[in-house]
Amino acid sequence: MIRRSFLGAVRLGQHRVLPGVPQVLPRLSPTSAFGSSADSLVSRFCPEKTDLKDYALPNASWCPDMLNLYQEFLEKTKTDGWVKLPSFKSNRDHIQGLKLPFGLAVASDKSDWRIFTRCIQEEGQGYEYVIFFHPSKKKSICLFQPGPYLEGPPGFAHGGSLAALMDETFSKTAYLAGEGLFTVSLNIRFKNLIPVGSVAILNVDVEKIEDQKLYMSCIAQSRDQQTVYAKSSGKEVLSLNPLPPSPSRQTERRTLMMLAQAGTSFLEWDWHL
Amino acid sequence: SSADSLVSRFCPEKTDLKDYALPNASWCPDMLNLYQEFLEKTKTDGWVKLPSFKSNRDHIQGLKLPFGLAVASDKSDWRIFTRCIQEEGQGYEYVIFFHPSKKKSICLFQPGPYLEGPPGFAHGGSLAALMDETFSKTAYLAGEGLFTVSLNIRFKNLIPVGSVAILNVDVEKIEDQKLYMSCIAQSRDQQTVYAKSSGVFLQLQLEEESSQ
Repeated sequence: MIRRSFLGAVRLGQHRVLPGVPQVLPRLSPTSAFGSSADSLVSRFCPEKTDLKDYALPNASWCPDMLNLYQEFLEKTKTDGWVKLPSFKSNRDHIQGLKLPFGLAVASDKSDWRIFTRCIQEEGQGYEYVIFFHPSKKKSICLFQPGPYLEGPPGFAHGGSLAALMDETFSKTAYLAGEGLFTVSLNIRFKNLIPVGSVAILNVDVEKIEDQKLYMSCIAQSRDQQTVYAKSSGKEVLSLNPLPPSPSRQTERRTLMMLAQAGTSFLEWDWHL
Repeated sequence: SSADSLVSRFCPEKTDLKDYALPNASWCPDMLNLYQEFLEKTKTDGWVKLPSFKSNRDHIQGLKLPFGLAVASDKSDWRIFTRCIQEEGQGYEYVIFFHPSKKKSICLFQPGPYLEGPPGFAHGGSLAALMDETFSKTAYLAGEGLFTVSLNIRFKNLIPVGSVAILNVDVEKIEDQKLYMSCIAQSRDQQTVYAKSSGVFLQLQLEEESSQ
């Protein structure tokens, strides 16, 4: 498994390819035949029928503001092109049939994996959140109600808990907006503390897509927009664009080796915002 | 409050509270070895192992947030975010060592399967949160830093679940009531850099809780 330089490898894999090496940019699903248009990404992400439990649904712990906002956005899914994203207990459930590129996929005998933002199963104690995505506007709205297990300063959410949810919302947005896959950077300016049990709204926009990276911004604020909790910007998630049919195993291995060797020079790179 | 009094108040000699920053059955060999290495340094080199209680409130007993931010609450089960998962080895396994005069911290971090992002690897946000928490404790002990002003992280490589990442935190400067810190998270052999970050914290004094 190439651990050292996967970022470097992907970066090099962009148009400046080594001579003699076929242009290989593995996508999340090397053998899949479906296109990667926004619509197909969304429809694959939002299965019509599934046995998996969707955690992005109201429960008894949701405060009135959370419930009202949820209803508001649910209406918009009927008329304005918004889509409510499902949220399963494990990220693996979201990418069924797909795997990470570059041999990063690891076999595992464990069974209880959880995506970090669903690590706490007790209703209302940890993250209560739901993400609505708008495919053509490339925007997301995340409704966030932090519970008492997310504490930092007494009575308020830990800054790190908001950072993690911003990262997760960026991640899902980047994936659906342009097959973004890995976080390259995250820059957050905190303004005010979020009281535990209250609602924060995260507004995410895709600012631009350039050089295989998605640039997004986010403002987290109170429902009445009177209090800004934090702003984050410049977060770039590498996009792995689809390619024509995947190469043979041997070519792939040779390519990966050459990329890895060349990729050592990228270890010291600083990704500037 | 001098650094020494901050540290001694933070590290009570006697307490009934459970310290989660201690080895348990889920710690991998690297984690155990590194822990022993730094435990030795607490005897000879001036390092201090920080206790880690289930709730941040336990860390500031007798003190409260300034500016009337303190909120009364009838709830009882509060947890500091990085100790939100109680099952050994499933969430955050970590311990922070602090050096008062060098104003440095080392955090040993072993992410469990409940911290997943890409399958088999820790969620970027889980590292972001632990960097924020390590910055937070460092800022508090190094200069009464209290609230995060900003956090800027550049990710380089993914951390495999169950492996150890070492977070090296330095206080770069203290200026205009703000503490500026930097962090590098890397593998034990330093061959893999997982991420680099910088954090700025606001200096504010906690208030003594009135006896009323």
